[in-house]
Amino acid sequence: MKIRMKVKHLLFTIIGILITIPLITWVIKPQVHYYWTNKQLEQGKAIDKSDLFNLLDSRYIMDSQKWEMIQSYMIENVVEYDLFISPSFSHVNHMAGLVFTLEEKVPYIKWYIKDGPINDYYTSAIKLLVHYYETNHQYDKAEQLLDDALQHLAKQKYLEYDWLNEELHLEQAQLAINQKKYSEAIAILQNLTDDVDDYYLQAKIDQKRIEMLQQQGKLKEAYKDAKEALTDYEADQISANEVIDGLTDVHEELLAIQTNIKNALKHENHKLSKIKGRILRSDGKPLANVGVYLKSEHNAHKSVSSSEPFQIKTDAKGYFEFNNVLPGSYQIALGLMFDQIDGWTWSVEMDDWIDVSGHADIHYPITFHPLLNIESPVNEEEITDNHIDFSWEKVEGAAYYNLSLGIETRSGATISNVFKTHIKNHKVKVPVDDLYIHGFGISFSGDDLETADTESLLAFTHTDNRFFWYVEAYDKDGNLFTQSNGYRLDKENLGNLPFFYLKERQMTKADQLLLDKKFHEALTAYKTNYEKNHDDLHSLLMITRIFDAMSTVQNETEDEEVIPYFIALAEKTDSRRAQYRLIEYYYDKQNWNELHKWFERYAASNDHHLDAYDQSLYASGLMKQGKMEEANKQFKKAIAKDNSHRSVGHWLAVILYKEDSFQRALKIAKTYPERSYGEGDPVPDWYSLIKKMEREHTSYPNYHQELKKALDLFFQNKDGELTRWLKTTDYKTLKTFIEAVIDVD
Amino acid sequence: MTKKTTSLKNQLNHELKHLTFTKHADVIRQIRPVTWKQKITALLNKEIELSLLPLATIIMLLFIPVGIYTTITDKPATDSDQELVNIKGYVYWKGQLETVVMRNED
Repeated sequence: MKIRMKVKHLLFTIIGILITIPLITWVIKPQVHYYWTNKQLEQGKAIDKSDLFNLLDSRYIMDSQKWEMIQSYMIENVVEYDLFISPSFSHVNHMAGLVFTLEEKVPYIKWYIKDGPINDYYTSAIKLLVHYYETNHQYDKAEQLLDDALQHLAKQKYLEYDWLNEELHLEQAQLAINQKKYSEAIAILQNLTDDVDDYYLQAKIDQKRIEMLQQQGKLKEAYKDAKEALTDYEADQISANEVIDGLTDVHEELLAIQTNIKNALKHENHKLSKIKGRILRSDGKPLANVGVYLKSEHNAHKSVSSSEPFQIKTDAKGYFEFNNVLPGSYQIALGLMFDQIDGWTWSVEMDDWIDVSGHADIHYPITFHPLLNIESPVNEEEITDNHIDFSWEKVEGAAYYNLSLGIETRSGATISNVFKTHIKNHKVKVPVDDLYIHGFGISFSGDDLETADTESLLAFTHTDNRFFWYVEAYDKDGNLFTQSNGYRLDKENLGNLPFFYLKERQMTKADQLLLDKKFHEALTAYKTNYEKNHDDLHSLLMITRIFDAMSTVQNETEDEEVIPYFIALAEKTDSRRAQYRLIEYYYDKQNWNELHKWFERYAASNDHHLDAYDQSLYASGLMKQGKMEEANKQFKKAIAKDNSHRSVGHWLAVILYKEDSFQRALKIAKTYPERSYGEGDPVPDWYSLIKKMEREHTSYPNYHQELKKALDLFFQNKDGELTRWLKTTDYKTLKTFIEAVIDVD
Repeated sequence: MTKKTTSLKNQLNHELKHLTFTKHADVIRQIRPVTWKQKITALLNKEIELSLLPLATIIMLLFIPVGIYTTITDKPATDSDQELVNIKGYVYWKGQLETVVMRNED
């Protein structure tokens, strides 16, 4: 086949192609790439990091566009890690996979500082580079950079650059403080103070001064200044009549400084300490460039922010060291890249606190262990036998294992809890009946019964549910050191999937009613089944679970109707849920014999391994019976198991009830401070409270009698009289103490 | 025209009927020379015939490597490649987990 055309048409076509190709290659394609990359990122979609590098290195992207990218992805997004883990939280960065390390950023930041626009990002870029030089101990380079930048700004001669100027001077002062060049820092801050015109800047200046005093160990002076700075700031903010949503960064930082110093001052010794350690894998490989953050107690549960006062990176050999740490309680958080944690775990428990007393430096080694591999049941195996063989790899150094089970609900939530603890072997045979009895907390998507998640209600008896499991290994001292659940990203680390189905039983008509959310009809059907056949344990089990769901949302159930079913279940099976329900019931009823009986059975059903919560519940029961000596012993055991010391309030009540002096109570309150568990309400400062009571008691001759009287009302559940006492008493601190004791969880 | 001239003309025509004048173009070129512009216009307007098959082959050969190169280098990451799934601490890439689950179900 041939085509006829004029030469000029052929020529136009060729010229067209010749123009279009470079136009596409050098203008359109890079611009489209730039546009789409930004669009994807704005929509929170994942892109490849190398895409951004390609754009930044491209000759065909305009400088102004590159600056915008540097601003957004390198300066604004200061987070340098894919994820953060600490005893209190685990948090994956939303930009994970697109995180630039400081080393990667530096060449671009240098270019930005040299040629980029002068605006807020300029100072942030300078700070970033100063931070880089500081981490590499190149202080002279950092100083030079700040000097040059200040000169550069001076040439601009525009009023709008005043703020940037001040920011850089503050950074200069901070650099001097970090190098302990205090007189230099004071001079810089003094210059700034001379022409300070806004209270925000003044607060920043005050903050640096306080930090200096703190570093020099002048805590009382620092505390006084912090209080004054805060008062001034708050007053100025009100008089300036500025509407601010929440707290400004400097306000929050000043509050944090004040709290930390206040806590430190409670310790006898105010000496600043060092916390040092090394991060190693169990095979001996050190982990370099891991972000290490020291978080003080009041913000331990908050995720890592760029302004953390204590942040550092491990060196090439994995070492880290924090200096000038105030006495107090701390937790370590780590910033990691996926490849550093993938296939490994830092198994740390929620109540892992570092207590700095000011007496000695603290060594805090961190070891990553390989994830434990599970063997059976795995990969969505369907179990039809009347037992399940759980097995996993044997871990060197493991004294025992804890096995936990979980369920994925249709709404996408996962619920899990511990099934068996202190398993000596690396396998365990479990009758499916034990799984049926083992339930989960009931998940609700709203406030009424209809929103109860029926899959979690049926739990292991639902043949369509997909279950998962994980196992944790503990050493002989009871320290968790590895587990099966962790980051399994690389194909090599994927291992067996922890899912299985349980299809041993047949679903009943009553079960179907429940799945159709006909709760009352299902309850009736289960009751009928159980009346017909008292060996129908499934129906009995489901009756108690529906009652549980009802009492959670509607308070519909009466104990008199419910308790007989729980007693039947607890007598016919080893249901720990039923046993625990009876313990709570008899605790409220003050029926100590029954409480004791069920507590014994509850302890026996787990080979007498009680956790801190169970132990303190039992101790509180003894306390309420007036068995102070025994309660004292039990509380001592419970506190030893719980680093958060949540039941210390009751223990202190026991001690103060038993003894006429405050000394032992003070010692206990100081040794076992109650710590906030997650992001709850602030916990009582028992030590300060008892110190105040000690002072208050000097004004009242019958202080201890009054204390005992109020505690007796509490122990004997005389709620009406106790409320009257609280309303009428003149003993203000004692009242606060009793209220705090009542609130102990 | 007289009768005489007419007969002369007829005679001339008769004598010249075997001769053909073929140098029109040369003569015109001599008396009115062709400009470059006219030459280019002429060339541009010249009609040519192209065989489709070799032409298509050449174009294909030019574009296939470009296409292949682009496909190899531009591998856009899909959402599920980059999305994480967290099941009580078991953290997987969503895409990878789904692939393995599908394989197990088969």
